[in-house]
Amino acid sequence: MNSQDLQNLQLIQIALERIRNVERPLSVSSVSPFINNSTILSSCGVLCLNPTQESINQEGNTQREKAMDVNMLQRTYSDLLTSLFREGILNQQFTELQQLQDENNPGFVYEVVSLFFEDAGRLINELISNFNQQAVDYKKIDAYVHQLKGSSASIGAEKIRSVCQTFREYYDKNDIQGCYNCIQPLNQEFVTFKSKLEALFTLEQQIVAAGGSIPMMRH
Amino acid sequence: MASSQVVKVLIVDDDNFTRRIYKTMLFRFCFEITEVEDGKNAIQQFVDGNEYDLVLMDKHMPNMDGVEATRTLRGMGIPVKIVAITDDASSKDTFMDAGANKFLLKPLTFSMLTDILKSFNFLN
Repeated sequence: MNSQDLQNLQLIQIALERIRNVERPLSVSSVSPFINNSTILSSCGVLCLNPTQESINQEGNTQREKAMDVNMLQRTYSDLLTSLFREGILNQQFTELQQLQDENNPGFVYEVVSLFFEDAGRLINELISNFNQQAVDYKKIDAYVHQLKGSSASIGAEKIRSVCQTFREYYDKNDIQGCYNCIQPLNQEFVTFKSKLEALFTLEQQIVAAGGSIPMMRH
Repeated sequence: MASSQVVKVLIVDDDNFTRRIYKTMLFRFCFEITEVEDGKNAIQQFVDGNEYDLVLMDKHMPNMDGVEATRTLRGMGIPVKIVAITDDASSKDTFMDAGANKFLLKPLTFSMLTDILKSFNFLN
């Protein structure tokens, strides 16, 4: 082996060391300080990329990272939605609403749920306020609960609907204490529902912003 | 059917949330939709000379409930198809006696609506 061969061998060893220490394919630019002979580079398993290919490769890595982000977001979304059904917070009616959403009504679910947040929040505040008055108007309270039961059933808010149902059963039996005992759980279920659906919509926005589509769930 | 070819639907429900959902379902069929908040306003629509092919009627509403509105419309000789949609299962007989054509329990699903529309031959 002559001195030139020895020098080449040393250069190859340096290049191989670089290859071992990085995860992605090396470009000519990263090893060219050491070796600028494409034959030697090829024999070391280094991809000989021209500058355009190198930028395409970098773009491919960025796209792969983006795809992984979208997949992760979609998985998180699916897991959250599944848990909402499993915990009984949502029922099949929510899926019905999702199926009504299409290119003609792209924000339909968000719109109706936002409307529900507003309406239900107002009704619950009225309920609490009425119960705190000296002369409680139970007929008015029953009307509020009836309305809340209807809208929660329409949106698939199962736990809220269920508490409303329980309230009405107490009301029909003239069990005022039973009615009163429903108010706090009703408020709690609404707060839980609102926070979980807001988290769901935030994920939806992130998925769309990352260029993905919202997974459809079948229940 | 009402004079134009487009099916005209009147939604009668005091809950604007429910009306929003029904409208979205009905828009799928390109129907013409009008909405009112109670039975009294529903009657007024017909008094004003408006024609409808279908009425989706809730039961519990202020001013005039759905049963009374249905009875009044039939008393006026209005032959419109009336579908009662309520969560009050006990009101079925009352509604049908008042002249409703169909009775459905809330919440209304898209497939329930489609079946009703097919039964009335509104989906041609």
